[in-house]
Amino acid sequence: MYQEKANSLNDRLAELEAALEATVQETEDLANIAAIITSIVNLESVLAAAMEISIRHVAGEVGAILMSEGEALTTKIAWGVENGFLDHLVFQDGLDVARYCLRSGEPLCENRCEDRFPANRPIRNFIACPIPGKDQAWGVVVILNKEAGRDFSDQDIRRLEMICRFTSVAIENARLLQESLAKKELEQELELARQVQMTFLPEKAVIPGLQIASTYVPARQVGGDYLDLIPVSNAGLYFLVGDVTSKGAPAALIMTAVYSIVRASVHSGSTMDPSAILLRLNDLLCRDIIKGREMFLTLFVGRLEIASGRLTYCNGGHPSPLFYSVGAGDVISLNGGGPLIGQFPEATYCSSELTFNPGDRIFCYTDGLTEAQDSHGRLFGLPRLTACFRDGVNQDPEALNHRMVQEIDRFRQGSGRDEIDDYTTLIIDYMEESASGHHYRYTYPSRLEVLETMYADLEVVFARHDIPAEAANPLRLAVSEAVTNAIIHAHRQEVAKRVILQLDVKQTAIVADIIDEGSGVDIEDIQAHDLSFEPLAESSRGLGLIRRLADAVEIRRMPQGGTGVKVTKYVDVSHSR
Amino acid sequence: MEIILEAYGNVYVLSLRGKLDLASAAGLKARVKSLLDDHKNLIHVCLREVDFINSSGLGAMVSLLKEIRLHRGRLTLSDLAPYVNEIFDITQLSHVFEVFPTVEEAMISYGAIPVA
Repeated sequence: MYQEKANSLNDRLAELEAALEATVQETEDLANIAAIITSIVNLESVLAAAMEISIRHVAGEVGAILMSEGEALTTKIAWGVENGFLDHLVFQDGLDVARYCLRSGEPLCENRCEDRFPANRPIRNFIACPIPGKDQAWGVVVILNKEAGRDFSDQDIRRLEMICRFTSVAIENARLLQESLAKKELEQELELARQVQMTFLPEKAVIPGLQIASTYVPARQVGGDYLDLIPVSNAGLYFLVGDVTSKGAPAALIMTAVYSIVRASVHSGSTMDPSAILLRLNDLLCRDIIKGREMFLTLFVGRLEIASGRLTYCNGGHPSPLFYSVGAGDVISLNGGGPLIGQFPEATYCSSELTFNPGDRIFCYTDGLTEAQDSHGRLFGLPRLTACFRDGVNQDPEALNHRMVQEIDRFRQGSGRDEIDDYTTLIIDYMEESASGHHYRYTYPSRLEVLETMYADLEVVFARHDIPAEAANPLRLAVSEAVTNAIIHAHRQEVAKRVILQLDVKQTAIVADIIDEGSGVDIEDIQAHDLSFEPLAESSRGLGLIRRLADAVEIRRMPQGGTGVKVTKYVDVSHSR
Repeated sequence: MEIILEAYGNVYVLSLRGKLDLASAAGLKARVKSLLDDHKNLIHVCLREVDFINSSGLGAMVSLLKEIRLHRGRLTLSDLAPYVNEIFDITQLSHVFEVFPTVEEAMISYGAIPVA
């Protein structure tokens, strides 16, 4: 009897062990399934794997996976059944097995259902299970006929449910990946477009007699703002600032067309009047490019003859540029021209004229500037912009431009608006070109790489005025010493701090003035500086060299706190232009 | 600044091209340092293509001289353009450096034979 009990206990133990073994196996299987399915990143492969695993793990004969596509449910994978076969397995409420399961959102299983379906479809039993999704199910897995004539068990249902859950995760991953790849591709294309567009932007223009500063900030990778400077011999400098309504790629495409039309026009040989350029643009945009779509262009075109200072301009519906006249001491807006471009085929445009005197300045901008908003939704507006422009009449274009951009950024801070409009600025100063000589002004950020730029700027001036090497060499040295000193010592390479270089080329002398934004130096200490050269010192030869090579050196503390070093070298430039 | 390195026997000749200022001095110093690290301490600098030098460039040359001496080596210069020569004269560095008119004359002073 004990023996019997012992045997029975042994049997029970063996059963339990087998059950445990089966559970462990089951868990391992599921873990493997999860690992396999979720490692696949391609949607089709995910479905194929899910089908194969489902068939194997619930031991079905055939099956299919159907996916929701909007309202429709489409067979994506059919394993052993032809496409559309499942549509005939009407289960209830006129719905087939898959659709009924999808609607209920629950697994559906029935054994011994030979009588339920038409005789030509020998279906003994089936399981259907939805693949859960975020808002609605991704689709349904249907398995037909358990192998060897057996019934589907509750465990089969649980297994299929589990597989569907893993499949759901894998589908989600695959979709996300696909989206991010598509996005990446688009981003790469946009980046390429941005690079192409940036090549359209005028290079830092060095035009004798003018001082020019500009900013171009696209809201997205590519923008609809238009900025161009085109020096044309005999005609002068064409400068254009415009804006295509709408942002991003469509605007950028129109802008590109405008760029080509404008360039082709001004280089056509004969001198193009600004109004003629706008007329031509309007004609081509209306007729061939915009063709009644809801897009248009606003554009200001100016042509400045540098020798005479005569400006011819035409404004095609663009925010009026501001003009500062030194003589009048006042700021006016330059209106007049015609309507916006690309919507009215019959529009006419006419140019206006004014004459620049030395010291006069024009400021062109796009509405991205005036329409910048602060945290209360207030616009930066024209009055604020005009005030900013007026306040900066004594700053050079680069410095004023820098300040305006900073002011706009500060205004916009805390507005929480990521979506900004494109904005563009252009400032042109007409420089003194009189008996008192030629004036040049440059602004450099505080990094050592600008030394190269500075040498190049100096070369342009030296070449223009035929400055002989005896004068050019010491000046180059003095300027390089002072600029290096400003960058390294006064600014400690803080890039945002600016070094200003002013050159005055006069009849008998060239004066270079280098001004920094540092905290200033002790002038008396410098005056008392020992100018003898220490043979093995690794630094502090600069000032001594300047003093030795220049004809006059003046070091002064600037009202704003920085230091100015003014170096004079006498030279006879009367033979130069 | 461009730097071309050639070996004449155990003498290493650096031919510079461009402007010698604070921006370009770092590259030159790094080049010489790697030679010294390699126990190559006989160094000649040809300044034929240097059209400009300022106090930062002079400072870099002095620093090289000290560094090379520290490594028991020798630094020679040659081919100073008139303007560069003037700067060396003004700052009295002509007496601090061994300056030769040409690379060849400098090489003779080392007793170095050009490598084919």
